[in-house]
Amino acid sequence: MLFNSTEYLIFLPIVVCLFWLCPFKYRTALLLLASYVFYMTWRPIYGLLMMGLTIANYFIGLTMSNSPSQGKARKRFLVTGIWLNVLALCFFKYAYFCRDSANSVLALVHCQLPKIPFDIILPLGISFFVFEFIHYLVDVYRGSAPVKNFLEFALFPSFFPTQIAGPIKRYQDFCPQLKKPQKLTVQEFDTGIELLLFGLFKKVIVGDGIGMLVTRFFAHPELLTSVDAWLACYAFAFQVYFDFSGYTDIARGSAQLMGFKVPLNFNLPFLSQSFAEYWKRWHISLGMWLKDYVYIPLGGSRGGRFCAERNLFLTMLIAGVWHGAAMHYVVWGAYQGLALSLHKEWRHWADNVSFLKKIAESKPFKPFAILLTFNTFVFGMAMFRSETIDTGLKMTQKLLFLSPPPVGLNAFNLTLPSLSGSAIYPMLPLILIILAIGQILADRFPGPINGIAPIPPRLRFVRPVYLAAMACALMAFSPDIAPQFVYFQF
Amino acid sequence: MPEGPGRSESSPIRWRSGGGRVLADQAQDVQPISVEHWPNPKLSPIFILSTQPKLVIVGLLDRLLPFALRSLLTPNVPLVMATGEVGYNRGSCPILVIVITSPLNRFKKTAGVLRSSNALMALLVVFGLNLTFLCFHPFLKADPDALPSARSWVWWATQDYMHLHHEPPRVVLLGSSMVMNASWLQEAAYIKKDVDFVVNHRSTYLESVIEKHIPGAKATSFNFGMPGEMISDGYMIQRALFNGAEKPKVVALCLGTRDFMDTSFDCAAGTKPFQYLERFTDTHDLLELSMPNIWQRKNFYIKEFVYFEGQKWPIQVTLSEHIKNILHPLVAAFCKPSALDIQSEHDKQYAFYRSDIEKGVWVAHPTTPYHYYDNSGDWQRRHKNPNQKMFDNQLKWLELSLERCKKENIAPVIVNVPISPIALSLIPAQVYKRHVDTLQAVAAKYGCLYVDSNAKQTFVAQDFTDVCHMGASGGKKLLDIVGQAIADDARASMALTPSGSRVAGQPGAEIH
Repeated sequence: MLFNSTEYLIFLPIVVCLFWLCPFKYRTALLLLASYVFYMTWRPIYGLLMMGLTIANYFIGLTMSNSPSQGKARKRFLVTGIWLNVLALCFFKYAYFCRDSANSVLALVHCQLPKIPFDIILPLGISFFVFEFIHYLVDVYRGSAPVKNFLEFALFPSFFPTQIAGPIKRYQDFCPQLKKPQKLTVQEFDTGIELLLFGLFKKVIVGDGIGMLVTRFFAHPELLTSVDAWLACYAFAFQVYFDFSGYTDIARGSAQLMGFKVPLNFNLPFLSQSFAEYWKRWHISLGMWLKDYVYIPLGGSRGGRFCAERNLFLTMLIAGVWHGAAMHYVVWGAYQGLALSLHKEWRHWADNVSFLKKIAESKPFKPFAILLTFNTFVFGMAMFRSETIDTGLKMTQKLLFLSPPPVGLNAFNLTLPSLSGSAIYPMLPLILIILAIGQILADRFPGPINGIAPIPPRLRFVRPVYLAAMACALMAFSPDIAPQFVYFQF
Repeated sequence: MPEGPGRSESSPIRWRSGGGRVLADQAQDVQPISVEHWPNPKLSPIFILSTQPKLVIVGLLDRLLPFALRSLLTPNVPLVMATGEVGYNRGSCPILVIVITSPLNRFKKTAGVLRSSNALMALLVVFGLNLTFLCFHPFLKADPDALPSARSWVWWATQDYMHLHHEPPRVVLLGSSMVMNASWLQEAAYIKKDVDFVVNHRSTYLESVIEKHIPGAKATSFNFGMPGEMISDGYMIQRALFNGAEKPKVVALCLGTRDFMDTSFDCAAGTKPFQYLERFTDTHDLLELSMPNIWQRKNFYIKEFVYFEGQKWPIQVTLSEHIKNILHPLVAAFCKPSALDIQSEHDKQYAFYRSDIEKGVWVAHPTTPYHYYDNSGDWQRRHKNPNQKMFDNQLKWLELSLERCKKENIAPVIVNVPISPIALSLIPAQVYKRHVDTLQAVAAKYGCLYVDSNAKQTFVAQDFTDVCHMGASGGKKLLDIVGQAIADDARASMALTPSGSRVAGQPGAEIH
């Protein structure tokens, strides 16, 4: 069931109504049931996988908390739990990748691994709920109180608004919300609806619209000029942003309608002044998870600058692998790690060399830093979006103006695809400029980061009109068949 | 107007002279509204607005429902307080509105809550806009052909057919892949050239057979056989395309068991041909037949009563054209064509539907070596159960087809397609008997010729390339049978016989 489908538009109001009609003591069970119904509409059998992992992690967490804090048993339980979760993830997500990678090595000695005799289909949201389980186990190991109520614990990874594509929650933030009765106020209801509509608008109108063009670009990289390639990568950057942040807003809005708060996942990342800041604003929950459960356990910034840079690189390599079971994701992760390491190196020199410090702190440097960070991110999108390393390299060559024919007038022709199709996108560069301006305006006014339009109180009559306009636009411009979210099968 | 059952003034239900019946708590809250029109209950939804939800539920369960049912059955006793007839370019589609009011102070409190909620106010705005647009239809009806569509089999065939409007084909074959496959493979063998199933819809072999039996017939043909085509799809082809000057003289309905009862088929409205062809014709009168189950109609009702949802494609196409016209001078002045753009407008218009069929995806070669593919599992699955409900539904579509042929003066011929012994052994015996008996009965009822290929010809194993589809040799035999049937049918042969060659004194020989 996708958020932008008719089924969800029927499912959500029913669940919300039942939630508020239901006595408080049964609400957790109701939500749990609804979440499993939501999950199992895709493939019922994988509901068993989620339940199985939930039961295992619940008992491991309880057992760990009952073990002495300095004992070896506690550590053993932690390691077992982490391995269980990682193996589940690896089996479903990386089995084919590992086999194909091993085969490409074994091909050198004319050997091959046998074919996997059955189809392995990636369960929805496995990357997200596995990470939530690992976070739970590690935090319990470190001394946090475990969740004793099984229903509350089961709802934590399966909560339907965040089930499929996050944000990756922290149980210390989520589970206490189940203990106190929620109250529905008009304002909360309005905020939830506004977030829902705004999220749908971002996903359906902006993200999917740009996505159609991006698909066309990346299907024919050989036909692109360098300018086309940059346009394609900018378009993809915006597509992923609007698609994913739109999804998060829908998740937050859906949760808000039931009185739950879900963390923010995007904070205008394209306005970051450095790559480090970028990863604090883009997919915030993933960035924090990687910091707390990969970077810091690897040593963090203890052990000197080079150790820190090494740890950053390894962390982002894991982030790349997490995004997908393919080499181009690994390359993308390595690129992210390299960019972060280079930024760390730059920060070291900027802090210690007064001349560089002056430059870094000067006013004109800020827009330059924003542009540089944004373009660094966009450059990496070529590899992220391409379906193979080969295509990724072709696109990267074009981005570097290295593709034949050699740099010349041809490469600088301002070719503007004027494609037919949805009414909204006749001219891609114009749209990208408008979106970029939108980001800047959103930064200046409070509210848009949270998905709420910054309408002044004296013009409060505008808000219903704005919501109505969004709803009508959604109905008029949504496709008949809802395309998937980009992060759907992570 | 008839009086209702006796009730005291204090009861929730009060009767009003003049035909309206109201449900109210207090007399002062009731507004007099006259009933204007009793709509078709099958098409109208009933909206119940109330500030007292519990009253609605109680009313519905206790009072309203029996009256509602009675009123729906007896149109002279209307239930509604207010009706609105919505202007609709496809026919009248009224909306029933029942307004249940409550005491004023509660209404004020509820109104206060409504006013303070931006979301609920927005919902009211959307509702108002929706009603307004449903009444006035501000967007022009877009050309059906300009609306985006997947380039499916039916799209290619329809485009090909519509391009023949100067000289429509005189004979059309309707049927599933059992007809399509056999005819095209035979065509390739006959003309000794490759035949692209996607773009070539002419059967010159059939034309030659007809010419042999009816000299001078010039029976140009069009093969509208498509994979998975159901009888309902065949009807939609006739209804959408065989109109006016563009209709053929003869339609050969080549039907197999699967055409009536495919278990992988949900409802008539769920097929790609139906969904594509309904843009060319109003299908409101086919609602019950095409979507018998209420759940199957959910998308239909959404499109029907939510203006922006139902009109999204015309809205998008209209806006797209306006924007392109506005931007054209800028694009022409500053932009050179991109390689991505160097395709025909035709290709660009449908570029986003990448699950399309494309030219070259299925080409029949004149000398394809014989091979056999075992699809018995698929055949069995599709005939898993007798599916009487679906059979009866498709039978109704067949009858509609024949009625339409009669109305449009098209001569129909029904042909039972060949069935291999293997295929016969894999389906329940009563299924095949039911199929043959039904075709015979329907043909007799509508006075058209019925031909059983299996009785007319001997089909050998090599005629079949799988359990149900035939190759070139089987196709030749089938087309021989179809050609002969057309020649044997008086109406069909008369329709194809050149007027100068009609024998004096014979029916049809009169000069008009």
